[in-house]
Amino acid sequence: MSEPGRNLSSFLVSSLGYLIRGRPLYWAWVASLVALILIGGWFYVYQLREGLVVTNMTNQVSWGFYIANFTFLVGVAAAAVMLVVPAYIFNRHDIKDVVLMGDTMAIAAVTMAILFVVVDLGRPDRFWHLIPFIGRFNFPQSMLAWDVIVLNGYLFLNLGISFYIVFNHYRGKEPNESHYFPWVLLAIFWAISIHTVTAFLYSANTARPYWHNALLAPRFIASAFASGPALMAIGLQIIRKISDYPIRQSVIHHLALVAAIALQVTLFFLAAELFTDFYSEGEHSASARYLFFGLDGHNSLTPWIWTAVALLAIAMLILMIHPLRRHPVSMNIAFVLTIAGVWIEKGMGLIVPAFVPTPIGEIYEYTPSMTEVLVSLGIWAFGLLLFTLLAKAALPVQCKFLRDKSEEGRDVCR
Amino acid sequence: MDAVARPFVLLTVFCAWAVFAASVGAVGEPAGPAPPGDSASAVGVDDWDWSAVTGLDDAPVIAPSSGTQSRALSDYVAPREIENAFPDFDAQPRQGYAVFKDVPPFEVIPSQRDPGMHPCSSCHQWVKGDPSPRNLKKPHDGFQLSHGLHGKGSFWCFTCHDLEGSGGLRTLEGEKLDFGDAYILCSQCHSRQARDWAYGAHGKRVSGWQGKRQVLNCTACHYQHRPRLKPREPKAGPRVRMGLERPEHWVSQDQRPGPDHGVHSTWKRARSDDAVSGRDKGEGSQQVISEALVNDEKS
Amino acid sequence: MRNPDDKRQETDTSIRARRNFLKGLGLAAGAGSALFAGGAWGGNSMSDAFADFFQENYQRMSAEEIREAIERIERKAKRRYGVDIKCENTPPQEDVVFGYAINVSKCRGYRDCVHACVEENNLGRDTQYIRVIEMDRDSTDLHHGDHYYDHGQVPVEGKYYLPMQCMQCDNPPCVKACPVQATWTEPDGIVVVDYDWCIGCRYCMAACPYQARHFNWGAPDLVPAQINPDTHYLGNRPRPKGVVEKCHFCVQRTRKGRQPACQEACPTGSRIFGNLLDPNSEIRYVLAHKAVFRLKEELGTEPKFWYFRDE
Repeated sequence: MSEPGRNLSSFLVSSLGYLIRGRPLYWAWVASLVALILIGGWFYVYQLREGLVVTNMTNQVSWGFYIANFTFLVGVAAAAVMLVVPAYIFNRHDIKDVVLMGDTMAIAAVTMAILFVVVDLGRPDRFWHLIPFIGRFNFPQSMLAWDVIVLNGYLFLNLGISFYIVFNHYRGKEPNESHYFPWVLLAIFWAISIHTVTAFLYSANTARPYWHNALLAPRFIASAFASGPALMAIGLQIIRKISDYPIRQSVIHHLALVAAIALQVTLFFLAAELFTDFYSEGEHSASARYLFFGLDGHNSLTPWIWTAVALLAIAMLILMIHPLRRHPVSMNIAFVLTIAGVWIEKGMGLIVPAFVPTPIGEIYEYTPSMTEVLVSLGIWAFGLLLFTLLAKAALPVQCKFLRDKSEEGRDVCR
Repeated sequence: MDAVARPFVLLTVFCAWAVFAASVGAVGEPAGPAPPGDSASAVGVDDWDWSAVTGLDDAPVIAPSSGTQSRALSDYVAPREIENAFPDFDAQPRQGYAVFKDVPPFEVIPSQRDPGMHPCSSCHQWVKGDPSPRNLKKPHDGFQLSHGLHGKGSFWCFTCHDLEGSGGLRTLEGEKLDFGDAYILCSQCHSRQARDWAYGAHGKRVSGWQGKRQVLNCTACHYQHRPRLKPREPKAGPRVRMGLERPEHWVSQDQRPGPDHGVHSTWKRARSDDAVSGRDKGEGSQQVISEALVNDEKS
Repeated sequence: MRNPDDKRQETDTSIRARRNFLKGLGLAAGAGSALFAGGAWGGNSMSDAFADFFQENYQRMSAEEIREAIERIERKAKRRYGVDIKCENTPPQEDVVFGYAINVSKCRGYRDCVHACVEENNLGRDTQYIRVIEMDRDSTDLHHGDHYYDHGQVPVEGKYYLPMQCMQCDNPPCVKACPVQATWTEPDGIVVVDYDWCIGCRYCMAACPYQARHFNWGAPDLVPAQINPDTHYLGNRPRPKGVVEKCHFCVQRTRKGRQPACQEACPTGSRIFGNLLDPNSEIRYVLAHKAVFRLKEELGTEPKFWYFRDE
């Protein structure tokens, strides 16, 4: 039953209270993240003053590190659905307890993705031009307009659902399933759509043969479902270690299984791509040749992509072998390898080769500048901080609710 | 926050954003004039040298307009030509005669080297000329006629010029032609180019795209006595984005070793070999083909 | 025509409402900031900076608003470069669609067009709208073209020259890509950019198959003494940093009946520009009588930029 005197303001106040109460480890973590954010912010101000000339992007390679990170993070955000589906559709109660964490991670990931787009804009002061009806929104023709809608919609959807659940738990009530289940259903489809729309943003360009293929959207989903659960699993294990929140190992095993299958599909898709490009190689494959083997002596990305392929292959093997998948050490190694491998392959390994060579045959390589790296680190730190603060505020509420709800007087969340 | 305060708070937040954004948009642009660029990038509009087009010092120098000012007709004529022009010569564009049917009307800017009196007649109004084709000796041997490869020796001065009279132009059938109508003469042999020129696919239109079509006549670009155009130096190529170094491989492909594109070919060796000394490397049909390549490049 | 397939019918009232809203905001901000007018905002007065922020998309501005925007542009140029420019808004002519053809047999690789364009259109030092590519005589493979040729003499035997610039497509991928409709096709066929509306996302650059669009990574490096003062809002007026720009067929010249700077500069007469709707134009003769081709035709972009050879 709901407790009296608990309304929105008291919820906000008590959440703030949780945020300012923590162990030294918490404060050290927050302080280091804030430091990274400030450094990133400082370099972003420098970028605003001078213009994007402080990056290493050129007319030839006009998208780089920022968009690479954006692509990776949209995948991570989409993969939050991997917790939502078994929790609500298959009624796995162990997973239902951690759905909130998945949604929180999705919120942080989508926020980071949006921030990466904002720092990549040449004129972020004009972003109001993107607002429908106030600006001049090129919907439905422009895939970027679609992306703006789906990303912001996903953010608000997750914020809404998470807030609804936590607020009700704060008030001691079980949230009304019939109220929010339709939204959860919408969130499942929306999660797939954010990553598909992002893939369509690339695959729509007939000018870039490296992107212009039908397999790009499936590849995106497959690698998202490998990296997202891996990141989530690591995050959940950390939460389990530093807090009292009950996270069963079955949840982690579920995520590992999802990652294993997704890795197999990812590598199969990669093999299909390589075959199609190189069996009868024409100029259509020039970008793929640049990435995997180097083009006319230019091969700065070649060691990266082969490392990524090796990481993914090793991770897949580990996760395919039952005992290795079950054992926490090997499993976590596999998760880390997966995240690194997908970040390379879907980040720089996807964005940069499409611009090399240019559609009229010019070769121009690209590596990120220090400004780009530091601003990106700042955004990553921001996302991690957001996740930390949201989790820090929500977990005690969840704990208390579970404790109050437990029938056997089980001592959860001591 | 109550309902009264909320709009004001939102408005304040919005105004704060507007201030920030306006500053972002405005700050960063240089407040004063940009520092002067280096001279390599400051391309002058007037450094044209059309004599390089035709290869002769006394060839007509007609600079087409470029840059921003609309040019007067006199801009098309180099100053020294105007000095030498005969006072009664009229350089105004003249109606083009239709040498082909249904040509939309256009105007020709006649060559400034069209004096009323041809230099030949300065001597030959008294001295009878020898009409037989031959290599000219003194006092003509400074003059080189390099026009027409067909029938060596049968094409020479009097193919185009009038033997009797002032040495003006004549058609192949003997009709006299005004120098301003020289394009009619050219079109006798170069009918494909003349047709294209009349309709606009050849030659230089010097008026705007709209309004009266004014074109340069043939001899503005092709010096009639040596029409082959000479190569010249190109202007500067692409520049790298500011703040970055020019990549090492941004040199002409001729100057760096590139991939051998003929490596998959079953019949073609690397082109440089064939073009220069194909005979040694070729065998049988290979030799015929490489010879064909060599001959092709010579023509 | 502007967006003939645009099914979103904006009623007059909603347009007026939006305009009044933005104008009101702008006025309020401007009035409040008039006290602080000065050159402190990076060469902009504060009121100009605010008005810039609230400026509408060109396609939605009234004639009055465009006039004000143009005055701001002229003031900004005066403050930034010390140059008096004249910015116009010449409308497209009726029954005119521009087309361009290059005679590849005649182009000798001089790059005179490239540099005439740089001067005419107030380009920064590192931007060139036109790229001349030296190609092997027996190949049309752009991947083996040479962009950086710097021989002592051109043309070189065994090569031909392919100048490339914005193809002004009839089905432009860049117009589809732009999320804020900062680029569109004008009635006379020119694909234009509203530099004051572009947010600099560079999606159009990824979408263009001809590498025709260029981004101002920093503020354009202009030499004040060489600034061309005859400008057009959609054309060669000085651009800010962080926006995309490209060849616009010298809209400041061609809408007044003049030739684009590249055509005027070319000494070989290989550039033919004109009105595709005029059956007696040179360009129409070329299209009817020459073996013309377009680049990357298989992509379906329908460029209005053709190439042909003499024989």
